[in-house]
Parts: sequence; structure tokens; C-alpha cells
Amino acid sequence: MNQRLQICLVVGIIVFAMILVRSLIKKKLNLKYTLVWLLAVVVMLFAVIFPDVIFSLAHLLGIRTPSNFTFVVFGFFVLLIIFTLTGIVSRFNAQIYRLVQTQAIMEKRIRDLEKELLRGQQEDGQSV
Amino acid sequence: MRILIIIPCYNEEKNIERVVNNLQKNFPQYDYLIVNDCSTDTTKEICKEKQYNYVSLCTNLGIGGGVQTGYIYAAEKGYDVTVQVDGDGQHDPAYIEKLIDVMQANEADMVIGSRFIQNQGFQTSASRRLGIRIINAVIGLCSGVKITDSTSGFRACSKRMTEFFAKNYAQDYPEPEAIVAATLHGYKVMECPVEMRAREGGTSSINLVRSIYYMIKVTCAIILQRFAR
Repeated sequence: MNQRLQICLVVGIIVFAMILVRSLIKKKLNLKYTLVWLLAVVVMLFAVIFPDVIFSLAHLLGIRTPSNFTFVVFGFFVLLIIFTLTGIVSRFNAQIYRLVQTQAIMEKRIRDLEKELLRGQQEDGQSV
Repeated sequence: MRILIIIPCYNEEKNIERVVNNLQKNFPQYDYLIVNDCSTDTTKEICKEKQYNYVSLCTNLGIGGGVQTGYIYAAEKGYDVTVQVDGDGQHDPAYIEKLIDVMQANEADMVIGSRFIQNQGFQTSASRRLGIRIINAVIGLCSGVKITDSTSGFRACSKRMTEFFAKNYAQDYPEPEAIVAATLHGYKVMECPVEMRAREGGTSSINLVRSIYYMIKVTCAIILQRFAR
């Protein structure tokens, strides 16, 4: 792999990893949902630093240049991460539905109780 | 027998009073619950002012989420029958008795009010009817049950059906999906002829682009439902 490309990629990945870790420390990101990103960073670094391994893998798959193989791996991770996100969004969606429904029914219960309480007070007032 | 009428509402300020007044005046034997799906008009204020029996969702969940709120409420309160009635006044509550009679006579779990059995009353547009026919066919293929008005929102559910829907109910365009889900889980679904009216106030929330999107989504949802376990 071209040395210049290699250096650029390493720098890029390290900057990205730093942003990730910083966000994690500042609790801007939830570790549960960030693990897949960390895994991606490790694999990307490995791929860029040891292009020989990548080269043989690429050869095995019939891809001519290792950099192309690296891009394929990048693409794969992006797909994986987006898929994970879709899953997370779907779960959140279901949870929000439940939450809103339960809250609405609870709000009605409070309203009914208030009404009953008020009526009780009025009746007390009349009987005194 | 305790019966709850669920009235899902989204921006029905022009209709809701008429619908509820009719229920209160002519059908006091039924309990009712309005589900205000975060309307942007004054539906909620009307409900509050008139002291109607209502729940109000704090974000818009769509018709599925709204109706399901009603089923959750009914299951919690232990109602024997739940009847879904649209908030725009298209469904005449006089038919509720008929729906329930059919349900009890046949030991059915869900009875749908269909306007296409006797073809009387408001019949909707030709394109809409074509869409409904296609959905009917897909439902027939996927669950084997014969339905003539799969998108009708006028339906009565037994207690165990209500409990099932409280736990799982399709969210986006739920009427056809609910039929398939119910049938595949061993519940008995039937139809009963009713007449519907054209909506009197407000506008329907369905337009052309949405209809196409609806058809694609509903078809996918039904087929998926078939393979879901």
C-alpha cells in the first residue's frame, strides 16, 4: 500500500478514535452503542498498519489491490453500524409507544382521582 | 356485560362533540373512551371542557398506537367487549348491538362492520375500493379468512381479543394487519353488514401518495405477519 495513504489513514483513524473516547468519557455516547465503533477502529487500524495480512486476504478473495480491500472492509463496517442503529431505533420506537400509552392512561387516572377527591370534599362541606 | 367504545381521534374538533353527544344521549348503556392522539386542533380542549371520558397522548403515535391505548385501558378495567368507532362520525353506534349479537351467536373474537356485504350507505371512491379489494385478497392468501372490508375501523372485540391487542397491535396502518394477526393466533374473525356515512366535518387524513405508500406497506406487513412466529 502507498506509504502516504497509509499515514493519512492512520492519522484519520486515530483522530476518530480520540473523538470516540473523548465522547465516551464525557458521557456523550453510551458505551453499549459505541462498542461496534470501537471494534471498527481496531479492525481499521490493523488493516492499515499490517497491509501484508490484508494483501494476502485480498489475494485470497481475488481483489487486486489491498487498499481496495481496506475500503471494502470500511464499507462493511458502515453497513453493520447502520444496521445496528436501525435495530436500536426500532426498539426505542416500541419503548416510546409503551411509555406514551402508559403515561396517557396514568394521566387519566390522576384526573379521575382529582375529580373524585373534589367531589368528596364538596360532600364533606355540605354535611358539616 | 360491560362494553367499552374506543374512539380514536386525531384533529376531530368538528366531529367529536356530535359523536359523543349521540353516544351519551342515545346509547347510555355503553361506556366510551376517547383517545386523543395528540391532536393539533382543539380536540383535547373540547374533551376537557365537556368533561368527556378521554385519554390524551403526549406525542402523536398514529392510529395503531392510539387504538391500542384504548385496548390497554379496556384490558385493565376488565371490559367484556370493546368496540372501535371512528371519531369522524362515519360509524353509526346503532350497529354496535348487531356486531355484538353476531359475535356472541358465533362465538367470534372479532366482528368487523363491513359496508361491502349489502353495499348500502356510503361506499367510498372507486380507487379506494380497488385498494381495499387488493388488501382483502392479500389477507385471504395469507390467512385464509374471507374479508370484504379489511380497512373498516368499525369492529367489536371479545375480552380475550382485547387482551391480545393490548399486548400486540400493529402500529402504522393496523386494521388489515390486526385481522391477519388475530386469525393466525387462532382467534375467530367475522364480518357483519353495516351502513356507513360519509364524514361530515374535517378532512380525511389519507391522500394519493399516502395511499400508495399505504398499499405497499400494508402488503409487506401482512406477508411478514404470515411468517412471523
